[in-house]
Amino acid sequence: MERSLQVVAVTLAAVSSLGLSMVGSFAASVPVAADPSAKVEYSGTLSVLTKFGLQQLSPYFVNLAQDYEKLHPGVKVELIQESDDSVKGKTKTLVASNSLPDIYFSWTGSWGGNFVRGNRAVDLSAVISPDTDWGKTLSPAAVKAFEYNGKFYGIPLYQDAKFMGYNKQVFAKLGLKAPASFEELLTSCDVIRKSGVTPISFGNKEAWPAIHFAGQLLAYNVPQAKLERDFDPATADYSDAGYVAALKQFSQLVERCTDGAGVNGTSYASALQAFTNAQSAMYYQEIIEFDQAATPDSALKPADFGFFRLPVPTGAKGDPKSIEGAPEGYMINAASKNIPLAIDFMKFATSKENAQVLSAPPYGQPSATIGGASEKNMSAAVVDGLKDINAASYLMPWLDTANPPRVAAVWLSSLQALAGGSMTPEQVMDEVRKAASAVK
Amino acid sequence: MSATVAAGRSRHVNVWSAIATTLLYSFLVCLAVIVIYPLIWMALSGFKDNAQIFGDPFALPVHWSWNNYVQAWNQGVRGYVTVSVLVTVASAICTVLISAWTAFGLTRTKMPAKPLVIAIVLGGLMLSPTVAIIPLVKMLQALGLYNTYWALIILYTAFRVPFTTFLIRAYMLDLPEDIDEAATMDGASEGQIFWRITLPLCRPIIISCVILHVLFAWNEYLFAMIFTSGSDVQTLPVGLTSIMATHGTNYAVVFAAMTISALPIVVVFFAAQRYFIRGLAEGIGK
Repeated sequence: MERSLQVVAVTLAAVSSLGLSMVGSFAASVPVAADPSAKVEYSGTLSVLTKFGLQQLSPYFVNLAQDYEKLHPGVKVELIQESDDSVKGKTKTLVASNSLPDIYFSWTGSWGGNFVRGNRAVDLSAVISPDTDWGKTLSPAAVKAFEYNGKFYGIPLYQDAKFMGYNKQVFAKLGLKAPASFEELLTSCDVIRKSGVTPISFGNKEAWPAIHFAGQLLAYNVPQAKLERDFDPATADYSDAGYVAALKQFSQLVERCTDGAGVNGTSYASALQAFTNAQSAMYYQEIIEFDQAATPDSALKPADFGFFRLPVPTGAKGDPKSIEGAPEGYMINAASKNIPLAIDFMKFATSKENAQVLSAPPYGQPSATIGGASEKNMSAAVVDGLKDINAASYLMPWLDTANPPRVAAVWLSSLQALAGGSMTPEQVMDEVRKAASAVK
Repeated sequence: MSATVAAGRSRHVNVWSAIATTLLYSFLVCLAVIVIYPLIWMALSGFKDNAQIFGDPFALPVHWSWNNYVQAWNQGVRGYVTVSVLVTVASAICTVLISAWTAFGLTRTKMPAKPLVIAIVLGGLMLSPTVAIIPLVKMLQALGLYNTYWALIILYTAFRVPFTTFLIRAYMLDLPEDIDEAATMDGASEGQIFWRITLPLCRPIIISCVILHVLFAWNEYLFAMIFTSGSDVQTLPVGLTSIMATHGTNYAVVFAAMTISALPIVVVFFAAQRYFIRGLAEGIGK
C-alpha cells in the first residue's frame, strides 16, 4: 500500500508539472496601438464576445454580422453572446486561457482598466479620440469614459444614466412640480407622504441602487478632480468634506422620501413595479428602464410619466451639471490577427443607421453615436433623456465600477448599512478610507 | 380485575401511539408543504403578470391562460430542453457504462496493481471542477470541441465516473462470487459474465447512478456556462439566465420557463423513487 501511495504521489507530481508548463506558456504581451493608415483586409474570421445574449437583444448582433458578411463576402463573423451574469465568468476564462475574441465587451472603470493593464486591449487613440473622424461621430463623454492613462481604449456602443422618474398625475393632484433643488425634493416628499402615497419607491436589497443615489450626490458635492483622484488607488485619500455632506443628504432622502430601513429588504424590481403600479410617486431609474416603467397596459401611462435629474443641493461644491451614468462598449484584442478589420466592424456597428436600430424598440439601448437616436421610433422621454446626457459636463461613473473591487465592496455594504440606519456617514467614510489605503 | 387493568393499559398505550402517529403525520405534512409549496407557487406564478407577481405574490392567478408558458417555450426553452435532454442522456449512458466496466474490472478480474488503479480512479473525486476550467478550455479548443454538445458530454462523463464507479464497485463487492464461478464452469467468458450476470444483478445501483447523474447533469451551470455560447448549444440552467435581464424581465415567463424545466426531473424522480432511496442506501457505506 505504501508503495502504491508513492507511485500516486509521483504521478500527481508529473501531472501538476504538466499543468504548470501550460500556464508558463502564456505569451508575454506588449502594448499595441491602432494604426489609422492600415489597410483593411476583408478576409478571415472575426470573433466577437457580446453582452447581448438576452433573448430580446441577441438578434441585434446576429443581424449586424449578417449585414457585414453580405457587404464583405470574404469575412465570417463568429458571435459569442452572453448575458449580464455570464459575461463576467466567460471573459475571465477566455482571458486566462489566452483565447479572448478579436472584439470583446467591456464596462468602463476598473473592469476595462484590467484589460488595459494586462495589455489585452488595443490603444485606439489614433482612430477614436474625440478629434478624429470616427471620434467626432460619437458622444465625447462616452468616448472619454474609456480613457485610461490619457489614451482611448474602448468603443462606446450605448449609454446609460440615472434620472428620477415621476408620476405627473400624483404631482399635479398635490399641486407639486418637478423640484428645482434637493431641499425642495425633500419637502415635496413630505407632502406626498401625507397624501398616503410612498414618495420614492426604493429597493436596496441588491445594494447597488444606493450606490446610484450616493454616486449622483457625490458628483454634486465633490469636485470632479478630487473624485477622479480618489478613484485611482495610488492617490485615493477620500478626505474631501463633500463626501460626508453627500452621505448626509442621502440619509435625509432615505428618511423622508422612502420606507426607511425597510428599503434593504425590498428588491429593485419590486420598487420599479410599485412605481409602475402607481403606488409610489417617484422612482430613481436608468434611462433604459423608462419604457418599462410606463407602458400602455400599466397603471402608470406613458403620458403621465415625467423625469427630472436628481436636483442639486444648494451650496454643493461639486459639478451641478454632472450626470451619473456610463456607456458600455467594446474593446479590440491586442492579440487579434486582424486589428484593422475588427476596427472596421466596430465602425460599421456604430454607424448612424445601425445606431438608430439599436436605440429603437425592441432593443431600446440608447446609442452612443451622435444622431443615433431618432424621435420617429423612440419614446419622447428617452429622446429627452439622451439630450440631457449629451449635454452633461461630466458622466460620473457608477461608484462600484470606478473603484477597485475591494473598495467597491465596502461602498456597497456600508451604504446599505447607512440606509438601514446602522452606520453614520462619518463611519461609512472611515470604512471606505480604510479599504482604499489597504488597496494601495 | 386484572383484565380491566390490562384493557385500561392498552387503551392508554393506544392513546399515546395515536398521538405519536398524529404528531409524526403532521410533521411529515409540514415537511411536504415546505417542499411542495414553492414548486406550486412557481407554477402558479407562471399564470400571472409582473404587476400581480409583485402586487399579490400569494394570491391565485386571475386569468388561467397558458400564454406565458407558450411564450417561454417559444422564447428558446424548447431548444434548451432539447440540448439538456441530449447532453444528460448521452452523458448518463457513457458514465454508467464506463463506471460499470471499471467496477467490474476492479472487483471481478485478476488485475495487477488493483489498489493503485482504485486510488487513481477514486482520486478523481478530489479534483475540483473549478480549478480545472482553464486547462480544459485550452484542451477543448485545441480539439475543436469547444462550444459543442461533445464538450459537455465528455466533461460530465469524466467528472462523474469516479463517484459512480465508487458506488457500483461497493455494490459489486457484495455480489457472491459463486455465481461468477458457476458461469465460468458453464463456459461463459468474462464479457458474457459482465453483460448477462453482473450487470443485471446490479440493476438497483445502476438505476440510482443514472438518477444521480441525471440530477447533476440537468442542473449543472458552471461548465455549461463556460464551454458553450449561443442559444443553440446552451443547456437549461444557462438558457434560463438569458431570459432574466437586469432590466425588463418578464418574471411570469421566467417562472413558466422554470416550471417547464423542472418538470422532467420531477417526473423522473417520481417514476424511479423506489430505486432512488434503496439503491443509494445499498451502495454507500461499504
